[in-house]
Amino acid sequence: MNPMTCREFKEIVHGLVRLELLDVSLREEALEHARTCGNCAARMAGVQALVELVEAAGEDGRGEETPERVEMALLAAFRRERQRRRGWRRALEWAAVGVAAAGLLVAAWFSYGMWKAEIPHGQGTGAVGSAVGIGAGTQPANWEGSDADLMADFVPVPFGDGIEPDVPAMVVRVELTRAALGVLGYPVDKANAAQVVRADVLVGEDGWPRAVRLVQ
Amino acid sequence: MAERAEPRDVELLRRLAAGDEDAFLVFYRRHQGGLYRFALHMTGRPETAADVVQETFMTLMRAAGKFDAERGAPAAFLYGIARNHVRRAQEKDARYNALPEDGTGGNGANQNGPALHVEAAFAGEGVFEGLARAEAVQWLRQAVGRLPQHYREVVTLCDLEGRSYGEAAALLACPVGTVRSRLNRARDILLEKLRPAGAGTKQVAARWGGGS
Repeated sequence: MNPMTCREFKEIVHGLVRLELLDVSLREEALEHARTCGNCAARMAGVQALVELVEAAGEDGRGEETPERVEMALLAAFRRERQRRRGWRRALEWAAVGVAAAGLLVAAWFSYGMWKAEIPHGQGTGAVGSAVGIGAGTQPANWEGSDADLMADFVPVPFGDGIEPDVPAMVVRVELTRAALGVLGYPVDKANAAQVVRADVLVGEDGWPRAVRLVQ
Repeated sequence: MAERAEPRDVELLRRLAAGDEDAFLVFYRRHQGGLYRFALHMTGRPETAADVVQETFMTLMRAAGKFDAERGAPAAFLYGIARNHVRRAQEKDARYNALPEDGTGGNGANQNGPALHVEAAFAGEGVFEGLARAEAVQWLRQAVGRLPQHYREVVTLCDLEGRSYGEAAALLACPVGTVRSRLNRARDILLEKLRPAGAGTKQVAARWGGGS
């Protein structure tokens, strides 16, 4: 067996000093090499010194901890972050309601277009009128019923701009489920949420619904 | 023991991501000490280390939801964030640190002063016989601080924090073999800094040759 070279010794000296070298014969060989090689013996002593230094530095630093002010600052930041997230969640919920309302409006507009195409030309819609004083002026042109058909008068859309006098508006008759009314913010009984009802939607010039009334 | 703690960390991170303040506090208190010492050894400045810890947990509270248990342990996720903040802090420090007047680049006094005392170790004495303990520790910390980043990380985790090679590999997201080779190289560099040229070779040889 060839004796260990200085290069081989250098590769294992850290493990040798730290007792990480499990191969007993290799360990004996390395120690034998250190006995006969002054440079490698000096290296081994240096590694020993380094180990002592590192252990001392490790022990000295073991008790060091983050200053308490950091925990306080982080806790405050955590609470702020939580608030911010809740705000975002609320905004997303509102956005979802908005999207649903817009979808409803598109459906209503589409129904209105179909209904308009069906009425005889020149009869006019008669739909544009004052948003207040809901009466004949705000009823659709093909309105054949009487006021007795109305289950209720126009009810402003919650969170909408409300009904203002002298503001041009249009009445659009639509068929929709009661659940869709819930999306607009009206209270809906879960038992008959799927029931289809007819409703007149008062649509402002900007295309947003202002009020709704149910028709029998 | 670490294996048993990991599932709890995963659970804490999940709750933390959902806005649970208690989970955040437990997770913080469990990891802040080790993380602070890691940052301290990496940056060499207590204020910067505290900033690194704070920034790390700030990032964590925003990014906890992105943690994927299949890609590593929560501690590895945390140290990954911390390493980025350490790097940023070092870049910032490097920008604002004034050059020393002696023109040594900040290393001259540290390299030449205490290192001369270390000669005692090579002359067959214990390292602390020729050098006050505090001074020696300070010298070592500065020497570690001058190591390249990837060497400094392994020395900090394995030698100064006493973590196993496996733990260090998990925290640094690299193979154990890489940790071993980097550590070996880092120790060689430290040894070269520690060793004054030609110091006490004969005495050391006699000591280790059994010639007492």
